[in-house]
Amino acid sequence: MAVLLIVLLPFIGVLLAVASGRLGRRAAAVAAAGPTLVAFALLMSLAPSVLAGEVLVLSRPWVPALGLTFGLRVDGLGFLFALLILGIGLLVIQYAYFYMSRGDPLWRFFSYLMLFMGAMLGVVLSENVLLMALFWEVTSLSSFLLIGYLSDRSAARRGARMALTITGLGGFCLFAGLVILGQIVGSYELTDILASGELIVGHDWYLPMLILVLIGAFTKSAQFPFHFWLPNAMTAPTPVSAYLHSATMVKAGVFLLARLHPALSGGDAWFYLVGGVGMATMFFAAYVAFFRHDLKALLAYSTISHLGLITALFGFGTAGAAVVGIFHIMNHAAFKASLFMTAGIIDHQTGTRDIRILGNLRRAMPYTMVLALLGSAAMAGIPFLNGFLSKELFLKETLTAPMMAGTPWLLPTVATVGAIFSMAYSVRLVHGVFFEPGQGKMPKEGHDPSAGMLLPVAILVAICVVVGVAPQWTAAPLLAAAAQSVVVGELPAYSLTLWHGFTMELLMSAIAIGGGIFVYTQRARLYDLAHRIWPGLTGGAVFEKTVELVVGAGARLTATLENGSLQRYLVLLLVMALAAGALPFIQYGFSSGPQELTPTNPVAIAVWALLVVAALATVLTHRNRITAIICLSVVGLLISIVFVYLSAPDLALTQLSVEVVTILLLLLALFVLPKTAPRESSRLRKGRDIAVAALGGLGMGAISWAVMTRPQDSISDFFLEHATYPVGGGTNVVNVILVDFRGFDTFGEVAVLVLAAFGIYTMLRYANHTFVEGVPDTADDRYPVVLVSASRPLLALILLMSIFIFLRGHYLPGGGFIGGLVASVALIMQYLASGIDWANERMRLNFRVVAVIGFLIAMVAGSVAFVMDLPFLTMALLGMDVPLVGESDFVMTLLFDLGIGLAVVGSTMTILSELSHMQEVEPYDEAQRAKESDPWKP
Amino acid sequence: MNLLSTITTLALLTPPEGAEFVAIVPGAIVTLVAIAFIIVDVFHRQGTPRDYLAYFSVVGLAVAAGSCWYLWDSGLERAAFFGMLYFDQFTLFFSALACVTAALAIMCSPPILQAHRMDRGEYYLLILFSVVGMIFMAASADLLTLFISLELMSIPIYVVAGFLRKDVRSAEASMKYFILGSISAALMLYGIALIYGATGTTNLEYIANNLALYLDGSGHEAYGLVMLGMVLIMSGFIFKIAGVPFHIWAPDVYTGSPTPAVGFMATAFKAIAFAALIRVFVIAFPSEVLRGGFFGLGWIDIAYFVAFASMVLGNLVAVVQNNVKRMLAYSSIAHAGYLMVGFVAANSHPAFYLHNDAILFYLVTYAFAVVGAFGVLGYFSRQGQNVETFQDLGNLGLKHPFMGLCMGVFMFSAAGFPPTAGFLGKFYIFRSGVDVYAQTAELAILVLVVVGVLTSVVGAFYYLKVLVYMYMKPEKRVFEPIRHKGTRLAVAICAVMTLYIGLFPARTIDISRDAVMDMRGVSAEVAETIERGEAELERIRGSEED
Repeated sequence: MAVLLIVLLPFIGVLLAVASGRLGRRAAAVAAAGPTLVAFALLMSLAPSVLAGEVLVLSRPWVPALGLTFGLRVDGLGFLFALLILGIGLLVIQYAYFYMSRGDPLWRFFSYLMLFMGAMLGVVLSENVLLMALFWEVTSLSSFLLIGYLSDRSAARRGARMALTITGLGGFCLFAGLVILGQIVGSYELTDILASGELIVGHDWYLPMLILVLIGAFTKSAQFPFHFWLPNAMTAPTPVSAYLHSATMVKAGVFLLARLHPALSGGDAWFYLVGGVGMATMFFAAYVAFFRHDLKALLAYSTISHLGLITALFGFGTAGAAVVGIFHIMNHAAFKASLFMTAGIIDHQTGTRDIRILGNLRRAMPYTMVLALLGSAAMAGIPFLNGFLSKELFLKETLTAPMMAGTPWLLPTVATVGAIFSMAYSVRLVHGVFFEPGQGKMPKEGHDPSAGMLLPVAILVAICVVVGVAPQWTAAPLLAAAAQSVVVGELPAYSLTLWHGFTMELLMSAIAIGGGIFVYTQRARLYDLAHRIWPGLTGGAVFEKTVELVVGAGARLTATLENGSLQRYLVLLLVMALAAGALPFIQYGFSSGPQELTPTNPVAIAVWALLVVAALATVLTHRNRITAIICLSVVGLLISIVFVYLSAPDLALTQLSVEVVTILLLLLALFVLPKTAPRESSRLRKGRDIAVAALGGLGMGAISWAVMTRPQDSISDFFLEHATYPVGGGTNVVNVILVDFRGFDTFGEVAVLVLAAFGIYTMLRYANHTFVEGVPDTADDRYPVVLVSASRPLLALILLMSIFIFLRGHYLPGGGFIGGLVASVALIMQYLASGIDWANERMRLNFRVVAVIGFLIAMVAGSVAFVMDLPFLTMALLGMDVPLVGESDFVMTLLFDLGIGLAVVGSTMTILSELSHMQEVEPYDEAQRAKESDPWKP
Repeated sequence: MNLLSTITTLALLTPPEGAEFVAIVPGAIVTLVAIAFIIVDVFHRQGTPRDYLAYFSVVGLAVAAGSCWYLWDSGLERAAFFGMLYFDQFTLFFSALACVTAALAIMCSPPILQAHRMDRGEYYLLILFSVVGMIFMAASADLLTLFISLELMSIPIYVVAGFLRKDVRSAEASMKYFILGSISAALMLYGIALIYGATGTTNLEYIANNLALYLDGSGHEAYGLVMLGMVLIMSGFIFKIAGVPFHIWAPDVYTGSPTPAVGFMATAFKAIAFAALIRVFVIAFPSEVLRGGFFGLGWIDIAYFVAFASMVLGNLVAVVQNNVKRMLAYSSIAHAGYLMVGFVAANSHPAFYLHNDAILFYLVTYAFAVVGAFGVLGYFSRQGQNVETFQDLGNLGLKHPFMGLCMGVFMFSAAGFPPTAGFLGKFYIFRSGVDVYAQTAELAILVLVVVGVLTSVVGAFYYLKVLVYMYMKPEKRVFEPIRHKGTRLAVAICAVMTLYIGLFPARTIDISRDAVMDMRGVSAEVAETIERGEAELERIRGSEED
């Protein structure tokens, strides 16, 4: 339970810190420090059992489907890290309380800080690796928040984003790696994973998994080539740098290496990747650190270098090296945190961190000077300080590293050169700030800060000294316990003593110290040299460049694809549809079916050819509207001829009447449009559209061909057999199907038609129309005499015709639908010929009512069957005789057909008369209006 | 299996059994609410706000969602109404999701309509009808019901997109959406016709049945024809989920439409389209040849391409957007890509069918984050204009801590950071991909997962940009909060759910899994997989109780 509390307490601290928002700085600090202190005490209570080698595991099911458990584990390694996190955390809280300026909302800072602390504890104390990865991501996030805390600086925002992108990327990779790892082992619990090292290293997926995990570790621990985010993260307030970016968070990467060391180490890949990257980073970062003028940047590169050192140690893969690695983690946390805090103090007191400007502070800040001196000495590896111990052990390990039999001199040389630069920048840090005179004027004259700010630094430095002088009595038990969880089996022999006699590593240390001082004396020349040969290509620049590239690519893509033009979208959509349609053709080729082709008739060919010509003409003349409409009507008429040719008189009739109504409708629309359409498309676009259209047409043709040349069972035989006389009660099969077999469908269609009419009615009547001014190029004679005089007698004739068509419907081509359309044509002609006002005056019929009545008649006629408990319009089965007229079936279908006819007339007329009303909106002058209302008096 | 074999002419004359009517309960509830809404709206006093009508529909939708919960265990074995509608937990899951997202979006809507002087009841009505379409689309057992409900779902939304008709962009959005949507629907319908031509039926199970008879390797079959029909049907779904290459409409429509409605469009549409996609392709096209998979060129390969392209294009282009709504549109394309990864993984072989639960789970996590995010955007306005560009967001997070916090949660979830739900959703999807890789050693699926992971990083970049602006940049123009209780409540619900699912996902995952396992009409292989899954689950639950 204590384990759970340790992890949860910082999160409680987050809430407390948020809650303390109004209570001021002190309350916020207490809110953060309180839970930390309690957690620290709880951790200490676990110390006896952990130091004795026990592993405490607590596991609760959480998301079984994902293999996630809420499992926590305290072993030596976890204990060590938890101790660092909580211990340094306490010191940082104390330090931050004094460091942060009075105007800052401290509660926000502390709530972020506690969030980080909780997440970091979660990482080091997780039993389930997925849970660990989860906490891992949260550390990245809280680091983002903390780096960007001073958000009014653009550098802070940039640094925060860069850090998050890199570590977030690593986090995702780590996650993927851990998932694969879990797949290999069959469990996500550390206990299982650590126990199956051989299985893992021998597995096929070892390498991809390892690479993914390592990317996670390297990004977090700022290893080359992912190191560049760390210097950029130095825009964070110094307590954050001290805590996250030196002591704890960046250690998560090496923690992971240590954690998975028993399971993953051993292979060649591990050695070359981890060891190689570690050594390279250690050397390279030490070199760069020397040339940084910003105190924090210098320390950041130094951190990278030391992390590289630790990484390399784990990379060697031997038990001895791993133990040294852990030892250096402890030491580095202590001295680097103290140095960051010192840098913060200097910055705080003098207002600058530039080593070139800072100078001669030894008199003004004596206490700070002493602490910085000791801290730097530990960093440089001077005897009697903790850094010396671990660095010497490291040098020793480089001498005995495995797999380097061919070039035994390589690693020690690199290590020594790295150490030289490490010494050099340590000297520079102390000498440049405290002894050498500065080149500029410092913003503030510094003096030592208050004791509260110095205390945390002093404690850390004290630890460095004590461990350095008497390691056996201080660090040894902790190290032993931690090492036990990293090493499989017995702990190797190692000795934590100051004096090992005159050994190779002592010589290397001596060279490093001497060389470092020498390098420092030559600094002026070196700066000059470095300035000249400094490579422009840094990791940060690459990152920025990549971001720029991505952004540029995105912008270009947007410009091409999403320019806002509907035409462009349509073309893209159609091209994609064509591509999708082409896929099966490409895959399976095109084959026509086995069906034999029917012989062609020259007349039919002529009709088809004419159809093609008319269609083309419509497109070509589309700018001249009236011509286009005429061409279009030719197309329609030809189609109805085709229907006749294919022996479908009903269809032909319907097509014909629909065609006429449509053309009339278009003609009415011409009233409100100018004579010609503007030229809108460029030549290029036309070409493109023609190509797309041609491809689409060819594709459709091919599909039709493929379908129609294949045998098929058509449903029409069924209807031909059943729909005609005895069963259906009529001889016109189409009409019987419409009003009898599929009566309900027809009914539905009519309902839709009526609804559409009403929709159009409301839209046209109640919308505000605005027309382009000066549209009508109307002829002088709006109502030609011939048309007017012809239309009136025709009205009666056509109406009669429509009744005729309607009545014969059940036995011969015709029916309610066509009849209704024909009647509508007659009526619309009047509107067209004599003007709306004239027609309206004489036709006082409300067509909306007609439509509804028709609909109701059809409904009643159809649903009578329901009374008999039969489906819609199945009167034939009743077989009743109605006096005078005939069978009940016939009566009902006739009624139904009548309803349909009325509904069609009503709907069509509603639509058309509303359309023709639109012209009224136009501003006409009075004379014209008068003329219109009485166009022609006989 | 032989669902329709008993149907004869006489059977057509018999009305459906009474028990079957349970299949339309959730849809009927929403329909009734919509009709009641019309009646209430008639008696509305002009000039007074219509907030209460919004809450009326919310309550109605809540009842419908509740009915899904109530009916959870009373599914029907066979498709109801002669093979027209499935009524299983899969249907119920998506019905409830549609109702919930619609309700949340509606709760955020009144102030925006009022600000645009378009406080009309039709807005809610249209959304309600769209929900009806969604419910039936998720239930479709026949390509005809599918198509009709697809249109019922889409057409009201074309109108909603242009609802702010005094705003030019809104009208433009509606127009574009309508035209492009109609073309895509036509393509889909053509595909349905081709499939009907090849198989002689529109019933999903029968299609599978007849295809098995038809594609018997005798040489007379026309693979190309079936394939073409299938591809066209798929293109319709891809359009609805806004997947590349049929994604073009999304950015313009999202930018122009009323902000809360976009939340609804982006989530519910995607969810339902995925429901139908899974249903149609798992049931109707299980044949190996049609499935293809990892470049055998079948529907899995098309999905693979869509997943790949959507993730890359969506994320890449989202980065450069300056308009937050546009950015979310592109990111929604990217999310369609992630979901497609799940689809590819889960359906590449019948044995992985159960991985479909990752899609369902992801959809839930996505729904709350996105509806919430649009709710937040709608919460700030200036003379009727909502917050839109990144600059507009400046400093809002600090000025309005609650909304800022919620937006943070949504963005983290969308970007896939723990402890929010979005993280688990992504993880679940990618894990299923890795799992398939582990069992098949197909490198292609691993590539897809890796691309997904990498593009997620790009995603983090632009999602966090929102937070960077909200917390770290100064304010450029003053935006006033609309102080609308409904919006605040809806946003709070979304945020709480996002965190709740992120922390305690077990229940949601269980429900998703149940829904997937309960799907009816699946092929024999899939049924076997489901059985194995059930046994496994039984074992796990048994061992947990011990």
